[in-house]
Amino acid sequence: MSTASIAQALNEQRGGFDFELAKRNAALEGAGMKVPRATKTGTTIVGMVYKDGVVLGADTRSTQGPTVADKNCQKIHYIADNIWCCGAGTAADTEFTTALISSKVELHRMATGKQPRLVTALTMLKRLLFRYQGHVGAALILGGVDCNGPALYQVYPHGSTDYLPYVTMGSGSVNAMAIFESEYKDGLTQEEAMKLVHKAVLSGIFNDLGSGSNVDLCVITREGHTLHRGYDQPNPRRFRYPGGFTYTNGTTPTLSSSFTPSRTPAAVVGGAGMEVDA
Amino acid sequence: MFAQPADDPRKNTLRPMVTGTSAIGIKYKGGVMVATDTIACYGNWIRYKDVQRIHAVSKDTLIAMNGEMSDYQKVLQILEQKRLAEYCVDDGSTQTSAELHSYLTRVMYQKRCKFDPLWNMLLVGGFRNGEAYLGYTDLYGTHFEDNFLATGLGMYMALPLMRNQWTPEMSEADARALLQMALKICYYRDTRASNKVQIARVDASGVHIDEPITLQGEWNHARFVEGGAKSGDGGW
Amino acid sequence: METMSRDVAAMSGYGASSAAAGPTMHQWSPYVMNSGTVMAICGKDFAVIAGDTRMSVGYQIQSRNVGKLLKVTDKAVLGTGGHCQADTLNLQKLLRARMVQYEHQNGKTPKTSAVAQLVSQMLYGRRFFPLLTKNIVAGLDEDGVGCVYTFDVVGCLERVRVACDGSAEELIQPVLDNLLERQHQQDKPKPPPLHVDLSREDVVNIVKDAFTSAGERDITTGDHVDIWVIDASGVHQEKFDLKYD
Repeated sequence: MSTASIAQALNEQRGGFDFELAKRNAALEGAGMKVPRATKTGTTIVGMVYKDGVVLGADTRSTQGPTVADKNCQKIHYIADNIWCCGAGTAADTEFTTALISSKVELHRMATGKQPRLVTALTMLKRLLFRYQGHVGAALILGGVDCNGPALYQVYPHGSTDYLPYVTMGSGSVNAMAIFESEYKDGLTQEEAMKLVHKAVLSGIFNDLGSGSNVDLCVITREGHTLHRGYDQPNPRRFRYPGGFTYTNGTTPTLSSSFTPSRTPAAVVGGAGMEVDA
Repeated sequence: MFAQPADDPRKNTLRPMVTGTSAIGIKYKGGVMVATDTIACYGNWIRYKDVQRIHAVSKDTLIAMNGEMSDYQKVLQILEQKRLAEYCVDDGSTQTSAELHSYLTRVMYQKRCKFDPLWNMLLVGGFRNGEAYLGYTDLYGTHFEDNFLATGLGMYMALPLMRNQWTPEMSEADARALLQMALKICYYRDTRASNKVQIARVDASGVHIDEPITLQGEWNHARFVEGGAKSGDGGW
Repeated sequence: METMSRDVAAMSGYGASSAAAGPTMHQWSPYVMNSGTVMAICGKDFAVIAGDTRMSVGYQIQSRNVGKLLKVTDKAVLGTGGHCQADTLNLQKLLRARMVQYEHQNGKTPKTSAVAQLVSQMLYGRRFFPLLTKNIVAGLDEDGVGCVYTFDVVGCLERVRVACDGSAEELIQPVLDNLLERQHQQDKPKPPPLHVDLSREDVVNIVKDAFTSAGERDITTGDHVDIWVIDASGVHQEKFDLKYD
């Protein structure tokens, strides 16, 4: 790509993905290059409808292979005041997808002057995900309350959706589903619903290695939403070496304490760019 | 025409054909209980609708299977030979569940080392001298004991329930209720599972393999019935 | 725009005519990774060996209570981490049988160095179909000094002061190198040739801290740790709790 076309691309500010290097990278990969891995939220996310609203739940572990990348990440994302969305899969995809749809939903709200509906957000999400044929790896649970009452949807990375009373996704989905299948009933109260969602997330945390740390909950009713970040923290660190490990001054010996700047400061030449004095 | 040429290496069956799904088991106060469903699938086809997947292999030991049916039948033959050999010695002693489990694991390990595995995950349950025994072995020769075990998809769905509910003081009725609940959930979510299930137990009075029973599912949650029609499922 | 959609098609495998790959091959691996971690540290007249008790397959915990340590003699313990449990069990069973044979033939218990040598040879015997086991032998040597031997999967043997093997090896070993070997602590006294210079209590606390830290970041290490201390009076066993998540 020439300098002129890069400048042109930057000036156009079109947004969206850049596929400029896709072919090169495919060739490099074919030649044996190791592609950097994205952080996955090996995850338990769940959602459940009850009498007056929806409860969403999530664990807070994100992983890179067998290693924990983040012990307390937030997987319940804001879409609108009355719509929230749990994300599993590739961490970046879930965050950017929900942020993008959140922004679009807000623009739509301002244009129409009406409270956003779940089907609106759902349609935007599934259109986006279907277009990218699963390469945007976001597995989502969309929940909230709108003029039609409480609703809960499941969205797969390829763009298919389901409308269900209780939903689980992520690597711990099967463990969490075991709890819903054994205990779910129609018409639960808010307290009962929170208790059951909590229990389902714990099932993922304690049985699935990709899920762990804390439980986040989000309760959405006609009156509004409450995000319970760190609702339960069942996995505190249990032991530290008594007194901790201390290193006295001088553990790393000082070899020299003089400082000599290696270069003279850069000077601006003309108005177009910068050059460094040799 | 179908004989393998001499320079062609021997090929083993490295892929299960007719399979049984989850087997689950727990210890309770005064015994051990295992359960499976009663179908065997050929791919997505329910090939056999009334098979027994739990068998007594001695007067106080039973095994429950998951995986390839024909390999399981071979396992039963091997254990029957073992039992006959012991019968012929006629010294009044019989192998304990732990010994049978250990022997079975060596068989499984030897087969895996020949790259010709017996494609099964097996539970060994037994009860002798007031002690319950529950062990696991599989096509790799893995071997361990625990208070509750599950194989196949049951490992994902039944184990979480057992970890929540199991206590060493469970009665036989508690154990039965827990296994039935676990089997029902496997039936809900495992495409290769059936609701016709069989429960067996070993206690001080020996091995008891019950007749199969049919579990009733709950499919009438309002939103299941209503579907996506009311709120819409989004457009394209 | 057209270029873009073609690239997407190539990435997704849609539309692109895939090269003829021939018939599908079904391969089967005789290995399954049940993972977990073991570590050992030896002192002047003791050795500590520890292993977590989680046994997992993929992302699922099969059992929270499958130990990784085997008491071989009163003065030697074998620990196996990062392993295929079937292979570990095979090694343990054969080793136990060989110990009985040795005692019957020689009328005495083998020295820890002999146990280590035997483990090495048993591993090398499977040079071309390795036992997927990362082993450590810890115990007391013939002078009553703590000793630790490490092995690679095919039996390469080395006597060391501290060792860690298995899934959290990369997390724990650098910390041991720093705290006990004092690498990178230039002005600090180096440990003696054969063992570390810390007390038994300190060593056990370092083991507990190391496993707790590993459990925070390594998903296959957790549940409990068996911590066994070997001294002149025998093997003292302790169980220490880790997190269940």
